[in-house]
Amino acid sequence: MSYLVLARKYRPQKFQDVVGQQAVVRILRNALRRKRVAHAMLFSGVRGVGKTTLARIMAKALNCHHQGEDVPCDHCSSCADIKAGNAIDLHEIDGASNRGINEIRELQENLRFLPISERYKIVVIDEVHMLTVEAFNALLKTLEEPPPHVFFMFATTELHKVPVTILSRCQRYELRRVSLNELIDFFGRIAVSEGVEISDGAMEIIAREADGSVRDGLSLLEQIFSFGGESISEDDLTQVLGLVDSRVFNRLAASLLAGDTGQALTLLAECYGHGMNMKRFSFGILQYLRGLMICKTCRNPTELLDVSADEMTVLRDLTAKYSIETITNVFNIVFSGVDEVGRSSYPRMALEMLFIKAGQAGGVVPLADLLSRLDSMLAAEPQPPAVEGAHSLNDELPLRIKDDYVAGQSNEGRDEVSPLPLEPVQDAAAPLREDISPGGTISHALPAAEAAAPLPGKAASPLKEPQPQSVDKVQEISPPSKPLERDWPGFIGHVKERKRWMASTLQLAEKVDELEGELVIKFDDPAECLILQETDNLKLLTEFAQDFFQKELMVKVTVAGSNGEDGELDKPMEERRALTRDPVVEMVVDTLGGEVSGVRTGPRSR
Amino acid sequence: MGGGVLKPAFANIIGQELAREILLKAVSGGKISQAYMFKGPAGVGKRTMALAFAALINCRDAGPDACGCCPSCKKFASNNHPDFMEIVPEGAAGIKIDQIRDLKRKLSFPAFEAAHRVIMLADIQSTIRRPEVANSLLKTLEEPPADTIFILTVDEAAETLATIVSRCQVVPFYSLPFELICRRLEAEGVEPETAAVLSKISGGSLGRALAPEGRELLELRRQVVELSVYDLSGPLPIPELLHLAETCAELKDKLDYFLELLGLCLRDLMLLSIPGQEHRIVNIDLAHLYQGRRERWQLAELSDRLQALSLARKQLRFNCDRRLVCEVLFLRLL
Repeated sequence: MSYLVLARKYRPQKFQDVVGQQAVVRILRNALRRKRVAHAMLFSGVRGVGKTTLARIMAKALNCHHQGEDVPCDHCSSCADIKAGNAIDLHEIDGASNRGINEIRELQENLRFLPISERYKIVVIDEVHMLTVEAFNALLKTLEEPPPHVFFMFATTELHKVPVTILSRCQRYELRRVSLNELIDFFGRIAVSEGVEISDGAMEIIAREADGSVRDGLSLLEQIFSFGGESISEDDLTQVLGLVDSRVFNRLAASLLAGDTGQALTLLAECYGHGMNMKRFSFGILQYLRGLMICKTCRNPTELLDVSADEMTVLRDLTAKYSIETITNVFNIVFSGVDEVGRSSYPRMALEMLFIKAGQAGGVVPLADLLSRLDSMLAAEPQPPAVEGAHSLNDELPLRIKDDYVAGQSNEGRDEVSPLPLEPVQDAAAPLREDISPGGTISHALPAAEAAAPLPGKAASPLKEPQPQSVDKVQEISPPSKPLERDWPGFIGHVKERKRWMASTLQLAEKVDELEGELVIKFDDPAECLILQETDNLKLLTEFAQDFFQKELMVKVTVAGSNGEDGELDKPMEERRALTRDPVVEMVVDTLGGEVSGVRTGPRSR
Repeated sequence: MGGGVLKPAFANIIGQELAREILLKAVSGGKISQAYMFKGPAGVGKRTMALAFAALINCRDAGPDACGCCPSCKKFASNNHPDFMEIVPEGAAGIKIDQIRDLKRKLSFPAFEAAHRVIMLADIQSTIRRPEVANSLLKTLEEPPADTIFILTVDEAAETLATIVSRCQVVPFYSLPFELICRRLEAEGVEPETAAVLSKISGGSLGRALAPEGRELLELRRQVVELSVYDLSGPLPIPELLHLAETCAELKDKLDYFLELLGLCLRDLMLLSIPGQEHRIVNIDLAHLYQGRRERWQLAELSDRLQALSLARKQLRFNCDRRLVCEVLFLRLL
């Protein structure tokens, strides 16, 4: 006889042999003993836990010639027929291939006749979830009241695909994943009877890989048996499976948390060289980071983590160095990227980019820390005037915290790879960047109420509070303001009360200028201002403008680049240069001791 | 594929020592399983190995490799062995359930002459699209007739039905080392510089490096990178960019792969901004172009661009208009 795979060779033939599933086995045996076997049974569970096996054993037990407690006997002619797969009264149907209504009709036709040689006709439909809806429905009546000589047994991995009407007519048995110890036990017995020696560690890896499924484990076991020969060690397994030592993950996690991207990439390259599976590897590192998080947050991490005491100390050592926020941040970055690594045709490159991203993130300062620092800062300084309090606070916070943060962090890290200190500088500039117009004015989005009574230099006021000594300087540098631009948000508010859509269109405007009694509103995109350019709307807008500014103004709506007078500034290069030379930018750079690292203009700048 | 002219034999397979060892040990130990799943990246020799394995186990000569001269081996070499069946998709929707039913009917008859009848299903991640088809295989895969062997090959990146995997012995395949691919390319008559670049960006896949459209993509990729490092003092190269986007959109199915190549360029740039990682860059022919970009952009900006790239690939998966996606992406890459 040709070679039979382990999963078939060791398929349990009696209830005693079934691995795990004690509860279900007990129910079935008692049912047989008391002659209370349901006429329709449905076995469900993940792959390789014994659904088909139990259905076959039940079929044997029902037709076993041997009468008594211990059915099936596994040696009478009926049992032997079923075992060999040529029992005439057992219809084992592949539900996935014979899924149509016609196959079911044919079956029903067949069921009317009495069994040919045995007591019962038994229908086993495997992969029953693949039957079509029509086929399921055709089955309903027969399933509810089958002839007395018929038993139905279904097996499926996807219970949710079976209609409830079918479920309610069946006795359901949900098979559980087989526990690690039972698997180890079972595989151990097989190893003995196959005459293969296998180390405990290797056995544990196999059982763990099987993930509760006997067949998964047997497939792997078989591969290992033919690969390793007479005796199997852990090395054989790590080789076949491409497993990674957890120490590698430790070093990797440490370098990721420390932001040492170079080291992380070197480790990755090493693992790649050893033929590690990148997908598995990425899940491995994710798992390790999870371990770190659990270790950091739970009081009894050992309950949730399946690691040795040594590994636990290592985990603890690593977690002690970093805040939970930092770990969570790295975990999140890795977590959101793992999926992409799996899908990429360059898993290694994808993983590298993920590590770079994680390395960039760097340390995170807990929010509570920031707040307490803020509190101490606020306590040390006089409260700003009540009217402006709310707004100035808003503008001031990001600058001050980041400033502080940068000062604290950058000293040691600026020279090395440290994208971190650079970032806040950029960000700190961000609130300003948007608001600096090429004309050199600041147009802070002050609320309408304030804007109605503009004061020169007021927009710069949020800046002067953190450093009172520089007040004069600020006012000096602050360029002459154009009331029109200052009032622009106020004007939008004014329009909003009258014509809502117009206000939202105006908000899209790129630039506003007052030129010789003309209010020029510039748009970037011609589509945005098409409706505004209509005569009626233009007239209305002019009225609003005259009302609000109390001046004889003519409104003109133009598209950027369409008229010649600003042509020069429209060249990106010129614009950029003008922006870097802008007095406000220069002042900010001066006061904060930074430098302009990038200029971004236009609506796409984020 | 590239290996079409070679006789199916283990001697003609590049690399993959582990898979080779697993299979050869199974043959020598007489423990040939009924179902194998060859799992690994695309274009690393899964199919070639499957053919070699099929030839070996049917070879009349009891040597360690397929002899190549017995009747069975000759039939394998000319690809008309009666007991080697490859199920290939009929039409665009992948393998149909009727093909599997037909297979089952055929399997109910004994093999014509072979000791081991071999059924091959290649690249099941793309050929078996519908769960109905995958499920209809399950019973046969679990208990096939005696001396019938299934070989499934699957791309590592794809999700495979757990019930199928559980029935197979999974044989792992790995990316090939750079040198092996490079040597093979040069043997095929590719000039050394191109061979070096192609094998670097192939990510260890010989199939990818040998693909006929490889050079075209290489050129296109250079153009895109060149454009995106445009001269700051000049005007934005928008018209050229849109033109390029149109060309790229015509790549059709290859577009996703092309975008991945662009991703590799971004990755290189990111690596360049980390000290001590310069030797890892793969687009070695573009190194001179990188210089300008590297000073202009920081890591955060690069990862923004990378994000734009993965967004574009996602949009392509959802069947968005290729040209629009390309245009938007290229503008973002500026």
